[in-house]
Amino acid sequence: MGTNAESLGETMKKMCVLIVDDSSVMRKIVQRSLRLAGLDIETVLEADNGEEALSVVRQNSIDMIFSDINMPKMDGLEFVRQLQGLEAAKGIPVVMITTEGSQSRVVEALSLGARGYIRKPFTPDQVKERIAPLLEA
Amino acid sequence: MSSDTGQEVKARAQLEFAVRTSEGAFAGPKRNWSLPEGGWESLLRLAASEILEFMLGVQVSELPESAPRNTADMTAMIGLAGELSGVLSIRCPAAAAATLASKMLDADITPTDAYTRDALGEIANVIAGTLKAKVPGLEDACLLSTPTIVIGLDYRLFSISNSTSLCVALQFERQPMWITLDLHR
Repeated sequence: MGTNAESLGETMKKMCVLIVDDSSVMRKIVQRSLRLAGLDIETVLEADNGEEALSVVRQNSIDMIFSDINMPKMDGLEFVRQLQGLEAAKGIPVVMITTEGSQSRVVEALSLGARGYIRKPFTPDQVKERIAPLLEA
Repeated sequence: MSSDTGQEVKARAQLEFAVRTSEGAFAGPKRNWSLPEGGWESLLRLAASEILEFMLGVQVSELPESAPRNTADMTAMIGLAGELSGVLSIRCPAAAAATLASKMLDADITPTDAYTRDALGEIANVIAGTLKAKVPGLEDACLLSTPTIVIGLDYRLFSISNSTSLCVALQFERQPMWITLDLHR
């Protein structure tokens, strides 16, 4: 059975998500897409880069992270790498959102601990398709 | 003041990119990718149209050659590095970038809003990524930089020597946009 917006919302109630992207526009678009995909979001935290995101993770209880790969200061790959060493980050699914179709970078992100990836540009339906298995896990 | 005319001419000259489509100029001896039939100009036009239509739902068409270029006061640039290196840039009036930002965010965004700059940068980023994805073998051989935004008309963009550039001129909702690909040989 396909997952619809309602069932996604029912899977996990009132989530706190962290969106990491150096583009403020993309952070808003991801946020809107997640809501359109049916994710029941209570809190959205944002970070400009991996370094800032690590600090946010240390100070908050986060249910899911969406991160760009290509960012200044600390990119998404290094962020995922460092996240694995954080006790506070254990069990938080990380989904990479990237323009890069580069298989090697996607594979590296997955090998470092990311649980999935979404390629820009994307539709809310594509987002839903990618995150549904993570919510069911 | 005589400098007004001079500045206008200078700005026009500064923003005038050579339109050359010599595909052979981009061929490197060690490349592991192959350029599809139609060449860069066709790919660039296709990538830009797809992204603008998919992300923003706007219809894109060719811009008449007579369209004045001296209104394009916002530029977003993305660097390409690796087996293919160079710069992809998008120039348009800030008002056009604000229209794009408004559509992306489904809100009223003004030309001076920071979201306008971010939106144009993001569009350049996604067009560059899509362009790369259309060239078999290039995705892993070329990386993209984060976007850089330039505001204003009075600047000159220099590439290292031995570069070739091509430009496609498009319009959406009667607003112009020039997308340029400067590639190092």
